[in-house]
Amino acid sequence: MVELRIQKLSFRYDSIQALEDVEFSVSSGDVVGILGPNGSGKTTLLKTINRTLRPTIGSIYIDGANIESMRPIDVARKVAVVPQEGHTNLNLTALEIVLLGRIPYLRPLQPESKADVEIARRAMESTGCFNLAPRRFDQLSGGEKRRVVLARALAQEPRLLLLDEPTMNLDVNNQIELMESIIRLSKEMKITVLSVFHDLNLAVRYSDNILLLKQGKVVALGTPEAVVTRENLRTVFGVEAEIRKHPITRLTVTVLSSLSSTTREASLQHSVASYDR
Amino acid sequence: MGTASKDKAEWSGHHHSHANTEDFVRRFLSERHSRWTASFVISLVILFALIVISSSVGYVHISPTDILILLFQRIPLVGQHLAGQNSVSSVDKTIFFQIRLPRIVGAIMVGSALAASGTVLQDIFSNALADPYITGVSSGAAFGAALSIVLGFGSYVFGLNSIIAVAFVGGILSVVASFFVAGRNSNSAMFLLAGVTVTFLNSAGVAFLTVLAGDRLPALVFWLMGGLNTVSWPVLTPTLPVIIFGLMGMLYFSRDLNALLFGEEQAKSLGVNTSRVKALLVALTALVTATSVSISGIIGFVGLIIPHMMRLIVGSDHRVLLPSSILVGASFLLLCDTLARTVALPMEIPVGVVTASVGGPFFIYLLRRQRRFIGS
Repeated sequence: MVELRIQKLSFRYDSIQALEDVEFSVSSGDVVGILGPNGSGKTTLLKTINRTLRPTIGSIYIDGANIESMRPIDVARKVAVVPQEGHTNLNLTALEIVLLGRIPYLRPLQPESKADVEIARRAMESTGCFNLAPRRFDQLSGGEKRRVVLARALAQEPRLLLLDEPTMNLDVNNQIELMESIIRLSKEMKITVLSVFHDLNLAVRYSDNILLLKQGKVVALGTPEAVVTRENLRTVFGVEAEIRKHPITRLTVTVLSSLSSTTREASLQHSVASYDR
Repeated sequence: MGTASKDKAEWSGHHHSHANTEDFVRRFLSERHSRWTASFVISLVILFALIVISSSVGYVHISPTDILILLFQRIPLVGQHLAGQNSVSSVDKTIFFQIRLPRIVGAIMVGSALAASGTVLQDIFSNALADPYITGVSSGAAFGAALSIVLGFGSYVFGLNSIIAVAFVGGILSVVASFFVAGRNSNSAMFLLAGVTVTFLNSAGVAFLTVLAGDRLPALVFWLMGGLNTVSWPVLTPTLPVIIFGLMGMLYFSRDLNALLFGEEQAKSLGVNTSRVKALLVALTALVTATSVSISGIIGFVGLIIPHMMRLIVGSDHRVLLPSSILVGASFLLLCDTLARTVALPMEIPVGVVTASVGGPFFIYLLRRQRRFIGS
């Protein structure tokens, strides 16, 4: 069982305090959505957890172990990151891409074993891209590529999966398919998922808990109903929103207007005008 | 409607029978194994054929059979059988062993070094236009060579081989300078810019020395044009081990290079110590490139195009890409050098001209077959 514990995490970059005193815990198998306006520190938080950045102060514990004291390769066997974009100079098949996820388990000149290929195959099946295995990766569509890189992350056999806007650039169908796969995998394989969202509705629909950030500080942590409230959206995003319960998507968040005075009037006028038509 | 339900089935994942999956795993591994072995064997055969052909052509023609005899006589076990054969004249023997073979070995060394360095640098900087010289090595070596030729730098210390030694030192110092200019926590773009800056400075130095050159000007110009005609065994003895070491070092990092294919962040999340690996690889490329440039001058095209060619043919997995680039780079430069010294006998064409003329059209053909623009 993985427990992720963040303690007093701060990150300073030049004169910018990107994260300040962030503290929270996540239990194994939970899906946590990270929400916040641009510049609130969401991506910085992910980067400190996957060790791309070193926190200025604070500690991160996975399963009770401080990741600072772990070798990079041991962290790689626990934490997987799903990338957004890929390198274009690639002549590799989708399967070969997924096999890259086995790198943390191989010594420098050691070739993949049957077991490694089997793990890659299962990862591709669980994300529904096994039929793409022999195809060249850079010839796949956006949605197909996303499934393949997700499979690559799963091939690392992680306990914690980090995603930064996983549904970016995907059409509505692929968005739902991807998120449902992630939820299913998280429950089936007891993988803890931390995902940054810009889409409030997706975040609310697919997260067990939501972490709301503003200017590097934690504003709220709890269930979507508790965190995504009209009041919080006002103070954190500066928008007026309508929130309704929904039998399928749990909550529906409709952003009505921005709270900055000029745009507020304009958007209200715009809405009234469209109703009259 | 039909497509939607098919996608649904794909997403939820269908389960293959146990026998099928065993099959799939076995098939994939053995197919890949044969593919990699085949490319390796084919490249070796081509290289060997080129060695024999290159040995036999030239101002004096030696028959390929004689070449084969001379080569195999040196091999311990097989040599016994051919020990009796004395059909090869001693003149031919001397030409082969003292003149042609060192030059062939030199071409193989330099071709391998440039192609391997190009492959590595393109992938650690995620830049399709990177070549072995972007770290500032070649301009530094040129500046060193110019200092040696025009001003006699290093002749006290290094004697006869002073040009090579000073060029090598110049190349290495340039890369170190690039590291300093870029600064401690630089990213790829900053380091490349630093290399460009250092190159400009070095080139200014070379230009200045060209003006001062006087009667040393022809020697300087010939050095700058590049060529393998000065390669001899005394030159190869210190430089060959260095290049072999450098190439082996790069091959060792094949797995890390694969991890870097998706960028630095992804490589880190796969457990790779990216700053250390990148620094080591840059150092290795600098080492082999400086060595190559100091003995052969600046030969272009090989380090830039051979990696792209091999990616199209064998794929981006460095465990097959690097060895293939090495072998094909070696063959390619050997072919070009052979043409350079034979097509316009008794003159020699600068080998850089041949590399561009031969490689260019062939690469265009490959590109059109792929119908894909290679860009970063």
